[in-house]
Amino acid sequence: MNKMIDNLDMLYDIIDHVNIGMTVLDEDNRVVFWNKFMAKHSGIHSSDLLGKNLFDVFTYLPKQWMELKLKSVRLIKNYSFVSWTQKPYLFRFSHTSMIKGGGVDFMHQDCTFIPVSNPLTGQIYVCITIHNMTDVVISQMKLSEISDINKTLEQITNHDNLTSLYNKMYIESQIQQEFNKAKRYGNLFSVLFFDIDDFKGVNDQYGHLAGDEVLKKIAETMKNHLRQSDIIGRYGGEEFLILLPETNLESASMLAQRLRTTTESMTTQYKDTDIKVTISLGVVQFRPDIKNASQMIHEADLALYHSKKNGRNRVTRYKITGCAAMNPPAQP
Amino acid sequence: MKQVQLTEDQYEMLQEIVNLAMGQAGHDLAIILKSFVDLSVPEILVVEAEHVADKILQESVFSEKEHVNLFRQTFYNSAFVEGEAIVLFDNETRQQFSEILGLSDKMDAVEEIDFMLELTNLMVGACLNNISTQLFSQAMTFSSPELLSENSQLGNIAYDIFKRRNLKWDYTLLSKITFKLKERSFKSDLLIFISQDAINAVGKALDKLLAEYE
Amino acid sequence: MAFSILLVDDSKFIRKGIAKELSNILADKTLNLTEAVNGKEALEHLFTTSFDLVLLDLTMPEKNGYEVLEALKEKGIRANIIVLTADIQPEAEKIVKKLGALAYIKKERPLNMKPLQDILTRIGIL
Repeated sequence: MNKMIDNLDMLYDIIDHVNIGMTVLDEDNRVVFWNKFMAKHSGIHSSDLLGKNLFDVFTYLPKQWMELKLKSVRLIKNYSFVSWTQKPYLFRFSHTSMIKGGGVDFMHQDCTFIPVSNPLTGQIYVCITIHNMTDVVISQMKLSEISDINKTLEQITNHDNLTSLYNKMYIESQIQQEFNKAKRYGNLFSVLFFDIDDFKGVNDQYGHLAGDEVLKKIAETMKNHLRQSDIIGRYGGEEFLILLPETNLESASMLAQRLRTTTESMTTQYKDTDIKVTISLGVVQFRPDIKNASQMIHEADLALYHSKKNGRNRVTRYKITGCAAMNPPAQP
Repeated sequence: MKQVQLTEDQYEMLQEIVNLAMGQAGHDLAIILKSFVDLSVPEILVVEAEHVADKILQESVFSEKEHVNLFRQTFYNSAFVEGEAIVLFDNETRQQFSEILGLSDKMDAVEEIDFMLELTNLMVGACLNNISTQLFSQAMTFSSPELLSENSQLGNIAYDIFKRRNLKWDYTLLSKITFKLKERSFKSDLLIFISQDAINAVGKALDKLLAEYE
Repeated sequence: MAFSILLVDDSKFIRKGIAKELSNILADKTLNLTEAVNGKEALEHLFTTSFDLVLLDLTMPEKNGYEVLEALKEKGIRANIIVLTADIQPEAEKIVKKLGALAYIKKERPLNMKPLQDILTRIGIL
């Protein structure tokens, strides 16, 4: 017979041993429950706390903000969250993290506020749960330190570190400039969006360093096919954007085909392996009805998406139709 | 491209359901903001993934040039209805929070973000719980709300955030609800995206309700 | 003499549901039902005809219920208006009554007609 545990002592035992802080406040924000996690980390035992207003005891708590949150939870009867990414911590508990890493003063916390109805009185209590996120924070901080340095370098040079192509911000601004020119003077230009087919598979099979080599090889190869006025940038992980001034859709599509076939026959050498990849491309030409550069990039992206959905290793031109149907890709 | 459409009757029934859900969210907002909420008729339509960005730019209470802040929260229930909600606030609105709430100290940027997360949770929770109860007699489960984008022009980020590859479906059932305050500067759009796979379940639930009117 | 009712709501199911319920509640009267799908239509009717009873939704396109009430007040037109709405914020009832509505009922699912019956009794229609 399946029966839920209803022995109160057992339940208390479970709640005390779970590695989560738990406290319950009544409608006047007085503490009516305080588990062992809370007692251990605050140094205040529940017997010294029960019946007292939380903010009278923990005077450092952001009272205005928290009262608003508690009020909202009670009224709306829906739970609320605070992530450490918004507010690093509510309660000042020291962290007992074994990982040596500076910069984290107190335990970082994810908190949930849960409305709980008291069946006897009809009052709505709020249960606050505290999750210790300190370890996550420390490892994330390490990662972001590295990424911050990279970002700064990239901002200064407008270039992507790995491939030496322009970075996302730069190419977007170049497209925006070309777009503004075209809106005003009507010059023709096109945008080409491509990405590497199943790049994740390459990383999984050969490792990330191999993947990096592929990116570098592609960047280098593409540049060889472009004129001086063309601009190529690394848009994302394995995504690339090319700005082609003074180029109509037909010419842009032909270039796209050339890039596709070149990539198809290209080999990247990494250690003793020959890695082959293919790319999918989307092409769009400037039209006066396009609102802004973002929309144009979006259309190129839609065309790229169409290439991927239709077998990859192909080129699609963006065309306005009622649905997603576009020009059949120009294939040999 | 094959697409599930709702019948005219299903649309009308759904419109009424979303109306009631909006009323609940409006009620909760009115209490938290201690102000009178201006409600307007929600927009409901099935949109292809490719056109979502354009549709949002078209329907949003915000113009492309306005600087907005976007928040996201996902939901699901055991009737396999799942999707996500996106809430937009403009910069002008976020600067008014302290005044609207009658706070002695003006909120700083971090507190403004936090309050918008709170409002997102409130609006999405009230609406989707209400819709789920009406259609499926059960509550919704939610992820925690998160900040998607801060202080960017809608015209720019719409295409970025709703780019085709970010969207897991080919088409979606989109509901747009705008909340404004009558006496204060406060504007917010709540966008609900119900996933393609869930549209069938929604349609069936609507049919059950429609049967009551036979 | 027929009892004239104006039903104002953008949802055809609400209109249908209320019409049915009203014919049950007011079974002893001959009912003359007119429907309007938005505030603009409602005012076109109300500016030219007088009705024994008006049921008015608040959230509608082309002029909402609040705007209808304001327009009537401005013109000095009185009508037996019962507001039936999904707008359940705390201030809604106070505001519509200030604008001249006789009564305010929250929309529920399923449609609960008891409040309507009580009001009709109170104002002497039932």
